[in-house]
Amino acid sequence: MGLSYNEYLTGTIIYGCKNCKTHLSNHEDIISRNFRGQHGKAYLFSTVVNTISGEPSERNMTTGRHVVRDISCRQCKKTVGWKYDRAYENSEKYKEGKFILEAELLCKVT
Amino acid sequence: MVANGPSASPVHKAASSESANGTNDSTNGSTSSNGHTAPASKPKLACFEHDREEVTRLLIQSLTDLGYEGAAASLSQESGYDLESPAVAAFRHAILQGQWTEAEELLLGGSTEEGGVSINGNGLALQEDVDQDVMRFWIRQQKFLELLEKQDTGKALMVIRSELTPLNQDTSKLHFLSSLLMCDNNYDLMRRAEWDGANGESRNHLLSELSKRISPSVMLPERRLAILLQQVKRNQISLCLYHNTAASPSLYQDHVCDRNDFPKTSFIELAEHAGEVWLVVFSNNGKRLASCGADGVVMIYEVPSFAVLHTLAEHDSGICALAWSPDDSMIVTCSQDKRARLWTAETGELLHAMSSFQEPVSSCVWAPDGKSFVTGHLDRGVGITQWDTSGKMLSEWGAAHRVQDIALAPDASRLVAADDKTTVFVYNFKTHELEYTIDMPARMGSVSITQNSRYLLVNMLDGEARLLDLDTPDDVLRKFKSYTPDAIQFIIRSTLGGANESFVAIGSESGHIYIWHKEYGQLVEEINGHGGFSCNSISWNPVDPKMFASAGDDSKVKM
Repeated sequence: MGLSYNEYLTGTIIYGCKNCKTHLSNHEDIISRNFRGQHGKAYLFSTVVNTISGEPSERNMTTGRHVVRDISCRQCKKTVGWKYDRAYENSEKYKEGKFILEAELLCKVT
Repeated sequence: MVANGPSASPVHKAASSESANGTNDSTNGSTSSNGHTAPASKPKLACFEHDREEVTRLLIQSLTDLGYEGAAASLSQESGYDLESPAVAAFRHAILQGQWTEAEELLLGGSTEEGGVSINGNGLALQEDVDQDVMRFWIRQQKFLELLEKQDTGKALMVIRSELTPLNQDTSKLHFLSSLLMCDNNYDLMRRAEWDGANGESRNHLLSELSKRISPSVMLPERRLAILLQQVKRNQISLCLYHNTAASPSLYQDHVCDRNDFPKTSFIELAEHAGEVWLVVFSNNGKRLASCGADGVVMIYEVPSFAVLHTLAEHDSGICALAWSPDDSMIVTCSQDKRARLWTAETGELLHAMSSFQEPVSSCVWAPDGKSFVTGHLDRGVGITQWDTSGKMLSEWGAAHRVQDIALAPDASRLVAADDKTTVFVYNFKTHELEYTIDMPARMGSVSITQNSRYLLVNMLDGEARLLDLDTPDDVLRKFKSYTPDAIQFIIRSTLGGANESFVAIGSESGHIYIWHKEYGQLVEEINGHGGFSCNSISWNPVDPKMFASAGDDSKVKM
């Protein structure tokens, strides 16, 4: 560890943590908008920044069984979505290593 | 020949006349001392592999320089070698007495008869590729200036027209000299010409410039032996990898610094912090040490007892940086709570909390006059601001980029700011204008500038530090690749230090401290400082080069 600052993104539209505005991902990194989370609409991102991941757990989702871990904002520690470690269904493999951020927990920052 | 010695010449040049006279009647002089043979039958003792004449003349010169003029004269008598030939002595005399025509003839030869002085000769042996007209120009320029000083503009004008102009030298220089004819008074003349008059150092200066063009076998370069010895010392120091002392080495023995004297073992551990320690900084006088880190607290310790004097605990979150004022009376702290705070160092009292930003305040430097300081922030749009010591914001610098670290050249010429990505911005400290930017290959941890304000040390988070010349930033002078980290996320800072700022010290994620020789780019020491915990920063005691402090994630500060 050591001193570490939040990473600042440079995209034109940046999604940040709704609670503390810490940058989380670029609009360009959205792979799909067709997801749902606990709070409604959610997006699949290829990369996110300034998050810490929790312990992996197996969950049954509408699209099958997955190994996921919750991710939370590094700054304010609020949960903002989850990360896919593993998908059992071949058709869902593309999600492995990708991130879900819930629209309700995001805000657009400039 | 020369009539009498140059009475007005300064001490270190006075030997010329004496040695010149001395040798002519040396037979009487030397026999009077106990049994010395006459110089005609010099003992041909081996002088190692050096030329006997060279060594003897050097000795005569340095004896004179040291003020042992009698010894110099008797050495000259006994050896039969002159420090300088009579022609050189005469030339020196002519210049110092302002006898310009003679000086020119003695220097460059030719025979002219003027003013009753008749000199025949070929002049002094010069260095190769020397333009005689340049030397003439210098002599005549001095003559011109001295005439002006005497208010003799008529003659001065003659010198310009008939002596300086025909030499076909730099016309702009000629125009400048002509313009000096307009000077109202001598003060104005000297100031504009940057010249200190006939009774100042100007003749000596002229002589010194001319002598550089004269063959060294004829006229020894000034203070030759002292310069040779200086070279030996410098060479020995440069070969001494562990060199870490400000004292000049003794000439009596070959210089080498013992590796065991190099600071590499920790003699004290301070475990006062409740969290990771991110930065340690010695005060400018070396009598205090301050540390700060994740627990949001600054500790001030007394050196060398390292007792805690003050605990500054007002910040709401981790402290990224701190800076001592030039006189060590105040400290600025920068925090992730998005504020900077100003404290008195002596009592630990909070003076002012600066207004809050949107993002963490990352860095600060003091102006050399101690009246203001500059902070860097991670805000976009307000990267740099300057404050006075009453906590009032003096100016926003208009830096549109985020700032992660800043460094100020000690001569207050340039301010260097590193952004949160890979760009270094170099500003003019006075005008706040951006001079240029430098692209680095990786994210940066810190920037620092050497004491001479010339070189920039950039530490990158990929484990490499680079030394750049601020005047020619495109060339990388040296690279110090210490290690390859697992993640390039955590800020590790590098520092310059040791005697003569010879070393670059870099921490690492693994807790190892890497110490490089700044000039030779060689790894001097690798110290396992914080055993497995990241070593975030190092500070070298500015007064005691044998002491440095390191700060680590193990919550400890080590000496």
